[in-house]
Amino acid sequence: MSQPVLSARGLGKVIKGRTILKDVHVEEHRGSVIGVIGRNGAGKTTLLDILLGFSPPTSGESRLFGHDSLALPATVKGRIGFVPQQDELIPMITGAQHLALHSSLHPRWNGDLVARLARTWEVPLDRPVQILSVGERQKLSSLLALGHDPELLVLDEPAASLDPLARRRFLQELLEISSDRTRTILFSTHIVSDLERVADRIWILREGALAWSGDLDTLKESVVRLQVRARRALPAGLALPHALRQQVRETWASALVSQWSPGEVQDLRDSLDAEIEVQSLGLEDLFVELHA
Amino acid sequence: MGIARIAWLMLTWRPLMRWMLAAGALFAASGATLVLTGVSHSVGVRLLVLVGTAIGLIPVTITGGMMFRAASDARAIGLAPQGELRVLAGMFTTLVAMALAAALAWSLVLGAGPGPGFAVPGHRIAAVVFVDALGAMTAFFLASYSLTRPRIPVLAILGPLLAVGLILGIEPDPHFPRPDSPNSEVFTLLAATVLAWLGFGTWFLGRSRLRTRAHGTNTIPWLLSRWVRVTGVRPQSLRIVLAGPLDARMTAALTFAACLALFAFIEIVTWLGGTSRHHGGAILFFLVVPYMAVAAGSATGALPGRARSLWLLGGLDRLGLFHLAEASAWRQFAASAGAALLACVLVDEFLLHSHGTEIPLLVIAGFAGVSMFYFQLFRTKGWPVGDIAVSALVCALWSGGIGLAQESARSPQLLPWLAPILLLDAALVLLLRWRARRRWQVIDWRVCKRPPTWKGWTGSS
Repeated sequence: MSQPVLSARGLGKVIKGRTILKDVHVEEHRGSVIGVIGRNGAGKTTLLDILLGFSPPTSGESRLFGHDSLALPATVKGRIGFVPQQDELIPMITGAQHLALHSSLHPRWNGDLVARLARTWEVPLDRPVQILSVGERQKLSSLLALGHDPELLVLDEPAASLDPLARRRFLQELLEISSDRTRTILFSTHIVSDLERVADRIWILREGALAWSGDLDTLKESVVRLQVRARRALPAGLALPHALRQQVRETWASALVSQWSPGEVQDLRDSLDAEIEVQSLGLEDLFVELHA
Repeated sequence: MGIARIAWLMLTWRPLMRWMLAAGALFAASGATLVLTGVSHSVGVRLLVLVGTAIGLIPVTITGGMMFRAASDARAIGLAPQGELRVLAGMFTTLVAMALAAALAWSLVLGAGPGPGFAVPGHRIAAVVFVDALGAMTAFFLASYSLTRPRIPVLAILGPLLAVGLILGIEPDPHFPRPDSPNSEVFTLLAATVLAWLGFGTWFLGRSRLRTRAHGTNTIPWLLSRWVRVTGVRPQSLRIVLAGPLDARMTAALTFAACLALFAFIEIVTWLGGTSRHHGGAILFFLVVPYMAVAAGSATGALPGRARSLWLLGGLDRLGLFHLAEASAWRQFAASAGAALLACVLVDEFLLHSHGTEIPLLVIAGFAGVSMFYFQLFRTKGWPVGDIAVSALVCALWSGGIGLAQESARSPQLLPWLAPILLLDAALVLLLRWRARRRWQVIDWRVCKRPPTWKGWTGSS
C-alpha cells in the first residue's frame, strides 16, 4: 500500500493540566475525504493543529507525507492547504490583494481555479476584508487555501458560517475537487448532514479520544441498535456481545452494538427467548447514541 | 449585575491583573501596617505602600478602556435593563476606588509620623491626590477606549478638557502631587474630569440613537487602507502577513505626523491655559517619547501569534519565523522611534531650545523600547509567573530610567546613574533574545494564540 498522507500514533495533548487529546491513532491514504466530528471541546481543532505542526503533542507523534509534523520541509508545506476555524485574513486589504499575497508565497498558483471559484462562490474580491461578512471571509479563506492546488486540504469547520445555499455550493465544489481521488481532504464539522454528503471516512472524537475511525458506510452498516423484547425477565448482569452501550429493564433491553452479524443475533434470540429488532441508524442518531 | 460586582470584574478581569492586584495589596497592606502600628516610619516602608498601590493601579489604568470596550460591546449588555448605565457606573466606581486607594496611600506616607512631609493637613493631601489620580486615570481610560476604535468626534469633544486637566494635573514637578497647589488648579482638574465623564457618559448612553447607519468599517483604518500597496513580491508578502500592511515609511510618516500634531495640540492648549511654552514641550518629552518607544516595542507582541499563519504558508521553520519576526520588529521600531526622535529634535531646535538636556531621556527611551520588543518576542507561553517577574523588571527599568533621565535634565549630577540602567537594559535585551530564540523553536500555537486585535485596525483579526 502507498505511503499514508497522514498518520498519528498515540497522540496525546495536555494543556495546563487539562487532557485535550488521549491516545489517538489514525492513518489515512491519498484520495480520502475524511470528516472529523465531535462535540464542542472534544479536541477536533487541537487534533488538526497537531497534525499540521502548529502544536507539539504531549505524547505520540504525527506525520504528514511521511515527515514529522513539527519539522515539515517547505516542499511538503507547499502540498498542504489549510482553512482555520477563525480566519487569519488582514482586515485592511482586499480579497484581490490577499490573492496577490498568497500567490507570491507559493511556487505554483492555479489562477484559473481561483477565478472560477471566486465567481461560483460570489466572493467580493474588490472590497477590504474588514467590511466582508463572516461567510464571505470564510469563502475567501477557502479560496486562498485552494489556490496552490494542495494535495492535502485541511478545513476546520469550513462551512459553519455559510447559508444553506452557499454551503451546498461549497460542498459540491469540495466533491468535485476530490473526485479525481488524487487529493485528500480532512475537515471538521458540527453539521452531520454535510459530513454525510461529502465524507467517505469519518473520525468521531469523544472527550479527546477517538471513539470511531473508519469508512462512513462501514460505520453505518456495522453499528446498529438492537431492541430486545423477552418473554421472561432478562438475566441480571446481561452483557450483550459487542455492545458499545446498553440499557436493560426487566423484559426489555436496548443496545448499540458494533461488528454485529445475523448469526449472532439469531443465537441471542434463541438464548434469551426474545424478539430482537435490528435498527439501522442515520449518522446523526449514531452520533447522539455514541455521545449519550 | 451589580455595580460593585462590575467594578470587581474590571479590577480582576485577566490573570495578570489579579496577580498584580494581589501583590500590590500585599505590599501596601504590609507597609501600612508597619506605619500605622508605629513599628517603622522609614522611607523604605513608606515606599512599600506607594509601590504596592502603584502595582495595583497600573493594570486598570492602562487597560481600563479596552476592558470597558470588551464589556460594553456585548449585545446582551445593551438588551439588559439599564445594562449600559450599570457598566458605565461600574467603570467609574473602579476608577474612583483606585483614586481613593492612591489618596489613602499618599496621605498615609506623607502625613504619618516624623520625616520629610508637607506642612499641610492630611485631608488636603488626600483630596488633591484623589483629584489628580482620578483625572489622570480618566484620561488614560478615555485614551485607551478611543484607541480600540478611533472616534474622532469623541476625541474632539473630550481632548481639550483632558489636555487642560493633564497639563494642570501631571506637571513634571519634583513635588508631585503638590498638596500645596492652588485651589484653582485642583478645581480646574476636577471640573475637567467631571465634564469628561459627563460628556463621555452622554455620548456612550446615546450612541445607539446617534448611529444612523450600520458601520461596517472604521474611519482611520479605512483611510489607511487607501494607501496600502501589495506588490506580490515574496519578501514583502511575508512581512505583510506577519506584521500587517503598513510599511516602514508609512509607519514613520504617521508617527512623525502624530508627534507634531500632539505637540501642536499641547502648545495650543498650553497657550490657552496661560502656562509657559516650555511646559508644553516638556510634556511632549515626558509623555510622548517614552510612550512611543514602548508602544513601538509593544506592537511586537502580536508577532508570535501571527507567525502561525506563515508556518504552512511561508515554508519557514520555527527558527526562520523568529528571525523574520525579529527583523520585522527592528524595522518597525526603527521607523517609529526614528520618526519620534526626528520630531523631538525639530521641536527642540526651533521651539524649545533645551540645548540637548533631553538626550538622556531619548537614549533611555530607545533602550526601553528595544527591551520591550524583545520581551514581547520572548512571551510565547501566556503569562506564567516567571514571565510576570520579567515584565516587572522591564517595567521597573523603563520607569526608573525615564524618571532618572527626566530628573537629570534638572540635576546633571544624576547622569552617571544612567549608566548602570543602560547596562542592565542591554544585558536584559541579550538575555531575552537568547530565551526568545529558544522558545520559538518549540512554540505551541495552541498556547500562543493570535491576539484578539481590535476589529479593523492594522492587524489580522
